[in-house]
Amino acid sequence: MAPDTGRHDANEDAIDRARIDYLAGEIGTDLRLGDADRIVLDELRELLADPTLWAEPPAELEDAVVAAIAAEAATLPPLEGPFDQSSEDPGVAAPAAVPGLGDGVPAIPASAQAPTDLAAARRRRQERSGRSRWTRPTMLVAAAAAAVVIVAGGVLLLRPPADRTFDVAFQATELAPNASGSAVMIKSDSGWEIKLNVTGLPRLDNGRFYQGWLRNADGVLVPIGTFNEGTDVVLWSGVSPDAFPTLTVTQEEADGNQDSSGQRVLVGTAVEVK
Amino acid sequence: MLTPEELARFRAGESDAVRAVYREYGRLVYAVCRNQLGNPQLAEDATQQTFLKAWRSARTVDPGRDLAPWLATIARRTAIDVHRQESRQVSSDIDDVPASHPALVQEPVAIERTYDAWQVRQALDELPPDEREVVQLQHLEGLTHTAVAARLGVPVGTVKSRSYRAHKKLAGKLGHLRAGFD
Repeated sequence: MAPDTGRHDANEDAIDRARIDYLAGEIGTDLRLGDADRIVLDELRELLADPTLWAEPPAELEDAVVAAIAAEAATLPPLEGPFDQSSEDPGVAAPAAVPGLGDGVPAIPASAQAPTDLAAARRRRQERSGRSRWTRPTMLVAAAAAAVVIVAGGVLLLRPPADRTFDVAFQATELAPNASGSAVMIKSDSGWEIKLNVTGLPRLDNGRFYQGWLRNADGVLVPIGTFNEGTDVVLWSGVSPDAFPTLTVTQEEADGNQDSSGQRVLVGTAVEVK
Repeated sequence: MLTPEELARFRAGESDAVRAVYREYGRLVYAVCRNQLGNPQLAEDATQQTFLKAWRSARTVDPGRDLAPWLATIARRTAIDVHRQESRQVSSDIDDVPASHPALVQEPVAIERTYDAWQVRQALDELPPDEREVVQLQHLEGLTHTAVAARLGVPVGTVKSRSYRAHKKLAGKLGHLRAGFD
């Protein structure tokens, strides 16, 4: 398009008008438009008529994206994640993470975290330089105290969480628009017990059945069991909803193909009940 | 465009910041993936993977820069990966695959087309709802001004003026397509 310089003459204005009318499909062709103009406008019209460009993402996709990133973020120590705050702190080297405390652990003690401004950086450098004046007994006591803190923290972290529970609210797909329901996922020593309660799914028999799946952010599917109708179903999973937060139900046939048919009837995201 | 603070919070994986990024760009990413893959479920998968990859490499983004070209490139590459994964599944047992399967009927779209798709969707989303609706009915459903007026219950003159305003904006915003990036 011609730039709006305020010096358009009548001919340029007419060409602009012809472009707009051609794009809107109100004129078949116009001698004032060159081949290059028409090619670009034809492609634009083709794109405007492409239904994929008008498609709206399903509402639940936002929650799925947020849950997937939150799940992965939770597995990283804060200073090893994609946002390394220390890299934005001028003149201060990134502190090293304390190894061996496991995933999601705020491994860096407060005193070792990156300062957030230059004054804090200066204070920290002064603290570091003052360390050489510590006596050996003081350092031994401090080291022992640190070890106690680390061991105590490790014990707390290694202890399995009691009665962890996730809820799933299902969204129906176009394949089963009348379906609705929920699931509860409860941690036990054997794995994750998943209780489904779904209505609006027609019963499948004669080699056809429903199958539950847990999916992680990379699209890896783990089968969690099959059933014929949706009331009082109990499934089991050996993977955690922390890492595989998306619960789907598909329609399947006993055809020897163990992969998902992709015919999803229900989709939901596991959310931990606090 | 996101502020540096919002970008920093996105990098930290804070859920409200991730949600803000998704709301800013999610429809565009989904449109590109849907345009590439056709299949809505595959497009959902590709969209989710796109945002996850973006988050993983968010430290490489300069604060203050528009995320759009970067996200569009990630979306296209992710959609191609998803397409290839589907193709591999198809090659193992092709007799069981319906003829409409996207891996059988579609090839990945060229990068220029991806960028065009992104820009067109962005321009459409920036139109006021009443103008966008008219454009949708004209191009997607192929309705005439008279038919659009009947559908919307407004005078034909109103449809014509909305259509003119909308296409003038679209022509202005999209006249320089094919600048290209990757």
